[in-house]
Amino acid sequence: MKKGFMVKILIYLLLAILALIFIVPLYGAIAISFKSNREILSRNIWLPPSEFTFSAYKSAWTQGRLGRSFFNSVLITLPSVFGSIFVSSLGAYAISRLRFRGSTLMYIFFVSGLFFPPHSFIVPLYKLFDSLGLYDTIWALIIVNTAFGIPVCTMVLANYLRDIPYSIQEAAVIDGASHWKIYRSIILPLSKPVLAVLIIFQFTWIWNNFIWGLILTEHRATPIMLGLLNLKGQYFISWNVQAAGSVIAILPVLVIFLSFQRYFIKGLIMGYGK
Amino acid sequence: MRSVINKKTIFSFLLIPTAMYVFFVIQPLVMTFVYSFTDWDGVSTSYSFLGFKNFIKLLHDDFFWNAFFNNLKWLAVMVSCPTLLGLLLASLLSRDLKGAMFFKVIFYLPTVLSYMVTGLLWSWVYEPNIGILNLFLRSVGLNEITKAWLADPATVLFAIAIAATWRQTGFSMVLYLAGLNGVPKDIIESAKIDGATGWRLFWKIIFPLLKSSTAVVITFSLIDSFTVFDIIFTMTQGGPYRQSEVLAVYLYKEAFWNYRAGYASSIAVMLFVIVLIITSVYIRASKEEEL
Repeated sequence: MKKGFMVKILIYLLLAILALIFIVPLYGAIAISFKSNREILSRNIWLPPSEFTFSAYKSAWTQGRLGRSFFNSVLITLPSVFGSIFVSSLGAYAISRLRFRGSTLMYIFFVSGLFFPPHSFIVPLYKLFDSLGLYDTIWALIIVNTAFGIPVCTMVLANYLRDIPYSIQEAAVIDGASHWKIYRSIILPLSKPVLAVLIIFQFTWIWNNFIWGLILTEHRATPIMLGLLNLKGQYFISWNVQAAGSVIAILPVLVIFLSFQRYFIKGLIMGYGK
Repeated sequence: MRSVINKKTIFSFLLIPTAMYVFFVIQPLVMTFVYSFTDWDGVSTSYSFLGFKNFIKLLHDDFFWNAFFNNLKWLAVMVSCPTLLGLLLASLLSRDLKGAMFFKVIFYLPTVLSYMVTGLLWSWVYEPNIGILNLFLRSVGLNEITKAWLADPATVLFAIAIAATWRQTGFSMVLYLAGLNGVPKDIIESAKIDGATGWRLFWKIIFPLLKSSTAVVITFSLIDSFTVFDIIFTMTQGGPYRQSEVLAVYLYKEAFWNYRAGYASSIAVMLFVIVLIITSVYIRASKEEEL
């Protein structure tokens, strides 16, 4: 009994130390972001702020142009999330519900994209969007994020749709319903749980994406992560402004993560655990 | 009985995803291979074909091998550190522990941040004068090991990899937690009856049962190790003296800073082939496992 108690104390101690180390970088960003310019120069920067000011947030948002990038990212992320899931759901429906000859091949074709390193695409993608006249527009990023979301969304959706029993749609088929109708009024509503997981994951991935913004934008359509990189260059001494910028950039995913923790864990296991 | 599905229906469902995927993913991939045989600079309207010249040059390019070996060093850290730490955390948190959920959230939290933000946060940790790492080391009297972690060629790559470990540990923790959940209780009980305890129980009985979690964690960290870019680009851009330059960073610089799009494409092809090899080994292994 006593030994078990000691072990428990040791485990808690170990967990507490590790948790402390894990939380320090994030804590630092938040603490520094509320400090004034004077305070970051005079006191130990890692102490909690002696008084809270939002001046760094204001600088980051307006002079630092992060407000613009934030807005761009919203305009890029939302259509890309829904676009990639919608487009993939069509392919997944064909692959898993229509079961034609070659459907396995189509599945492999789409899902193989999961293993393509994104950096193998940067030269031709830059060239492609430049020649389409879409360089430095949010359209370039919407299209790329949608297209590169197809592999993962198709994989998850096709696996999910495969497990929905066919008996469910038989009545509808007998009534003469078209596959478009079955897709819309039977299969999509049944897929709500997996769609929720996909929305959350796609949102996080696209919001956090760095490389496409780096190669496809200059200063008009910069997404948030690139805006943050520019901020780092512009305010390289003002840690408080950089910190405020980071907090702004991670806030949307943080809010989503904390409100949908369970979906995150479920999604990870669904995606990789098989 | 399923009704016969006509070809038009199949075609109409496949049209949009296939068109998008082919035009914006497959087509650029093919073009990477095409450009890799050219001397294109990325801006001119014309280029000429060189055959395998870029690839031959690549094999004699010290910067290429430097980047490749940096990927391997990165891989050594990323395959071991987040995996072992995630396994440790999962095995601590899978028992009946008050507050386990709280700790899970803390350790998983960094996983939702982008590598770019991770790089930014950790560049403050490593800052030589007021960064918290050196402040801490000084406060406990370890003055002599303080360093400019990101400016020192000896530590830069390792320091960035530690930051990436922070970001990545939650991922392996969650997969191991799922794996541990699937370990049947009666196997553990009967092993205990047979006298297996502590380490022996863990390494001989439990760890082998987590084989599929381990395979997934390691495969993805292998792939991630060759595609790493954001965090290094944010923290050091590959410096100092290319000591943290990995293949993706080298390829980006060649393409967009040095106007050698053709040569950069040959690096991109190598990157593609490396990841392809890792993936096919994994797929083959996991197929054999099922049989």
